[in-house]
Amino acid sequence: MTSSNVLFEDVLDALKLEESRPSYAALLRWSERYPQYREALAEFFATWAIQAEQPQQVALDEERLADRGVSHALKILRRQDRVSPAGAIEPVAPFDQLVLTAIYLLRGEGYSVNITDKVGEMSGTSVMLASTFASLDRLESRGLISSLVADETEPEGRTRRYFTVTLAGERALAQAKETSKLLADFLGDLA
Amino acid sequence: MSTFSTPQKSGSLARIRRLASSLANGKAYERRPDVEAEIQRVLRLHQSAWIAEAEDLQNETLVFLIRQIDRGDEELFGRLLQELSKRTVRIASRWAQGLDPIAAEEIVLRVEMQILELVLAETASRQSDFLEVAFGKAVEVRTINAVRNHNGSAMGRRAEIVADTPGDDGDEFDEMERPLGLAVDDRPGPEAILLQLEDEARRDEWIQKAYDAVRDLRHLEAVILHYGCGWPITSKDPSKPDLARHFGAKPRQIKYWIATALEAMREAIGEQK
Repeated sequence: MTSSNVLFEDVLDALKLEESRPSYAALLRWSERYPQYREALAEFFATWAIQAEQPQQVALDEERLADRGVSHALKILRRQDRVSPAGAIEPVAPFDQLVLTAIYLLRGEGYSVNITDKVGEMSGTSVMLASTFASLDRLESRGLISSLVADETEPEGRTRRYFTVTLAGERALAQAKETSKLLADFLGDLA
Repeated sequence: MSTFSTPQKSGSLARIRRLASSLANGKAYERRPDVEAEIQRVLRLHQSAWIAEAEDLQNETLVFLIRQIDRGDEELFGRLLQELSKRTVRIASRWAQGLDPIAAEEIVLRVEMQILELVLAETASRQSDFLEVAFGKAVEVRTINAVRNHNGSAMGRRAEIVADTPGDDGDEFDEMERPLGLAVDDRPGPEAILLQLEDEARRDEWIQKAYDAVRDLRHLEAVILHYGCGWPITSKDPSKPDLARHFGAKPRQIKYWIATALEAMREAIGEQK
């Protein structure tokens, strides 16, 4: 960052990491490093010194200002297409519901193998690892789970991924639970 | 059932995105170890727990999480952004004191928007990466810089012009009984006054007194820069900043300002004791 085309804001970030006080000695050091910003640095150091000594008088409405910021940020996120549309969640297939439940119960420690084990344990059947992989892909592409890559490998040499449930995933689980309850209530007599 | 055994709780680490930017000496930006550890822990939680814990997470962790989510729920983004914005406003407000409330609010809002735009920038930059290294410092420098710009603007200068009063040019300085540095009375000198301002317990009270007592804020600023930071009143080396150039005033005038401010502060603080 010693090049002459460095941004002033980058210089300020770097100096704040190194300097705890706006001393004159520090100002001279930074002016020597970045002579193109000599005047701006002098003004910055002076403002820093003076603002550090200001009595705390003005209390701003933190909540209102934060709300304005959030509203601005959400607009940016929507423009970037990073916000999932709100609304009803499409029903999740029964096997995927079991996989989602297993991930939820494993609390961040779930990866393909132990998720498969857990699904088998819950369903009382033998579960193929390939079925779990396919389900994980479906759930992730629908934004119901998210994964993180760990510094470990699976028995097959794949990189291990740990799964957690997103907010949409929790809503899908809650919806599935509600449906199951309703079915159980109405079909109580069905063998 | 699968034939693979289920391992005990894993101690493995997630691969966390490295920061791409570097410092002046070429060393890559790095998050603090406690932030890295918190990120590792939080990434293993379901997203509802991120929301529940948002209030207790470190600033840099919040920035990491917001940048990390490719596509997410509005509720999740909203809660994390709300927490980060509140903290930004709090830090910025601390550094935007001494201005009129409208200017202070404008500056805080501008800094908040700048920070959020950096957090949500689609392309990482040195500035956006810095938010995961030292978020509080990033907010501080942007606020101080915004105050600097404000003070250099027509609006900011207006306050100084209003405060400019006749007889302020130090012409009567020669006739003062106690020019600065030659005071021979037993009252506290500049260092003692500034030491009193360092007294944590009564700091705010002393500072408030000093500000109330000094007629022109530039006088107090000259005292802070000269005695608090070591700025010379004048320097023969034109490449070195000095108070005369900084304020655009004659050295004699600066000396007069300092003497006047110290006199007012002495009296104000003396009355308190």
